[in-house]
Amino acid sequence: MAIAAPCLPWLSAATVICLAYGLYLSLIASPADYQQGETVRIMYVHVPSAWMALFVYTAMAVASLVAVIWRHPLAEIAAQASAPIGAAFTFCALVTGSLWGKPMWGTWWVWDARLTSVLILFFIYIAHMALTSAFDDPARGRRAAAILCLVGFVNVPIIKFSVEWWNTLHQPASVIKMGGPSIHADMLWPLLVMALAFKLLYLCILIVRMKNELTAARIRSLTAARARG
Amino acid sequence: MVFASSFWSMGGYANFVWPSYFVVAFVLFGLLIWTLSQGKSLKKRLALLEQLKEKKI
Repeated sequence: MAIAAPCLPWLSAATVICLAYGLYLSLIASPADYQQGETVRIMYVHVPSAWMALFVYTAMAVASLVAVIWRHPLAEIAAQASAPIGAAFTFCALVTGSLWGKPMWGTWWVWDARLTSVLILFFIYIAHMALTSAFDDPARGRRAAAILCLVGFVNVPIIKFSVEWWNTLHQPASVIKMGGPSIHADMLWPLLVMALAFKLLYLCILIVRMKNELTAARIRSLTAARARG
Repeated sequence: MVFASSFWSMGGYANFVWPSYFVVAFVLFGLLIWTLSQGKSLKKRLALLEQLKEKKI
């Protein structure tokens, strides 16, 4: 935290610049798709949100593993602080996917493997948040949530490979795959800039949320000391 | 003007493209504002408690 906190102003500035440049590329500078027309622009918020949904969960699982094995208190706080951010990104991926699905697939929603597994991911995030705050002793809540997070990690490879294992309306991966991306550079650039912007935004919010949690812990210990007299 | 109107109409898909961007902006910006305001009120409470501790009330 001693290193992270001074970086915050720089990270915030980088986020704003990346976001502004990413939005310019996605909405103005990039071409419409020859098949999907202008709806392809939904991709520039949908795909980075979905990547972040998986990235944040993976980061939480690593933090939970560190918390369970080495009992590092900051790791637990990092996992706790990440959960609402991951839930927000997952929600964005689900809603924008639905808004993209209607004009392109003709339906808002289908119960296929990719969509259902991402919906489950959203529920796991919510369960993680609920479990963390379900105990009077926050340390116990965080420990229970760490176990949930590690068990729930099984869902991450299921989401990633769902488009290959099962028949689905959702298209397979076109950026992170063997043989390089199969997407044109004019569309890949805005996608990568937006993905970077979302990642930086995650770091900014994570640092502030972790600082908040440390303040809350200090408040709890002061209140407990007062109660003891 | 031609650019502006074609930009907002999004090739007839305005009803899908703009809500997507709006939802993402609303959710992420909302999370940021919520986090910052939470931090502000927590800091205020901590300052108050520390003040009380110093005065030994």
